[in-house]
Amino acid sequence: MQKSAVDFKNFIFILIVLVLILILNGGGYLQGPKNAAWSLLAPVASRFQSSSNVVSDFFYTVNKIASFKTENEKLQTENRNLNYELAQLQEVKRENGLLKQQLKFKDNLCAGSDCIDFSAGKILSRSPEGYGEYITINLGSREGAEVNQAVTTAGGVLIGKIVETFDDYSRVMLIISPESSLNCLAQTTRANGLVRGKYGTGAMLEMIDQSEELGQGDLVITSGLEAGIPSGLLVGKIRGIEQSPNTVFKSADLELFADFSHIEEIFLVKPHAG
Amino acid sequence: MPDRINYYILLPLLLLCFFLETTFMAQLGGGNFMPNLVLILLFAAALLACSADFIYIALVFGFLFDLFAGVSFGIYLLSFVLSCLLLCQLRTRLLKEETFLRVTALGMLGALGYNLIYLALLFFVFNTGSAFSLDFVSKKILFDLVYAAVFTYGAVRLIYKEKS
Repeated sequence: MQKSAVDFKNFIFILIVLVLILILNGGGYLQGPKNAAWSLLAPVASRFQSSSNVVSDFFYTVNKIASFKTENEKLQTENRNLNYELAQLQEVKRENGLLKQQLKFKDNLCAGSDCIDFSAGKILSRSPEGYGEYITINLGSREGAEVNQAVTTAGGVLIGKIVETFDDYSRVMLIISPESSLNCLAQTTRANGLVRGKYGTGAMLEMIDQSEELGQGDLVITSGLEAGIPSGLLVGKIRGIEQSPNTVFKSADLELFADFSHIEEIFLVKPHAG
Repeated sequence: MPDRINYYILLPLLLLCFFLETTFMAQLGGGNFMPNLVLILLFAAALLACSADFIYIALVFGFLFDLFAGVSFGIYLLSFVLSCLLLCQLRTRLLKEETFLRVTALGMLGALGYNLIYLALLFFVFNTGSAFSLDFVSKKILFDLVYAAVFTYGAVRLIYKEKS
């Protein structure tokens, strides 16, 4: 039998060190060392992440080549439809403003995208193997990042929310993480539910009352009921509905708009300053 | 420091694997089912020679994993150190010769021990385990056992240094 070099005294000392680290972390005293560690590691992680993005782009392009033409035509059609809708909405907005003026309506509440600012950032690293899906971004408390703020990709597509901030970095829990749970609703039918992550592979809209209507292909957006997450951020669309008369709630499988393996630039959603 | 481990290979390799796991493998790979190469290297080192110094290396990398992961801080720290200590004890009792079968079997035991310790901490200490289903957990453990079986012996040969 070989002799272990970790004797009882060392073992107890190691346990004491572990407990001390956990206590210090619980009391918030480890923020300094964590910030220092991030400052040292972030440049290296950033380089690795950039190289990873290049490789990811290559495989993404190779995978998508076959569908580029079809997707391009589909997007052009959607773009034309959206431009028309945008024009209609601009007209509605203009009329709304005129009517409010006429009624001398005082509106101190801002609505939707008029109340929020977007700050651009980059992904520095992702969580390694394990039971959660997290990313680290290069926007921290110095850039105005706060816990529970939403993080999106271009176009207002929600990917997660901030769960921890450091001086120059923040940790974001992705919506595909099984620990993530966000109040959202189906845009057309206004059915309210919780978007829960599916172990990094997607998400489900759950806890929907049986009496609520759901439509295949309906957009799912944030409801605005979560602190720090404004309403109207895109999440995905309903791909399949699961319901049974024996259950209280029904759920829907979502096709998420964000491609989580191919995100490079992110945007932090902050309340409008002033 | 024990002289059976080539630290000039082990330490840079640990750092390289750490950055690869938090960037390339996390982005390009199978998400939660990628191999934990840092842990496998630590197991390989534990199987070659255990010492308090080596456990501190496990502690440092556990801290780094906690920093980069989002799960409750301390879970990787505790899991890495406790599973390496467990493997050290198993090594003293079971590893009479470093044959392929014995090393691989102990590597797999270490991987199983790591996952069980991780889950126990998740459920009973940090109270965040309810989000994970049995199906997911069993798949995760199975993948980790397979990776330990595939990589442990190779990792041991890689970092082994002849006694001078």
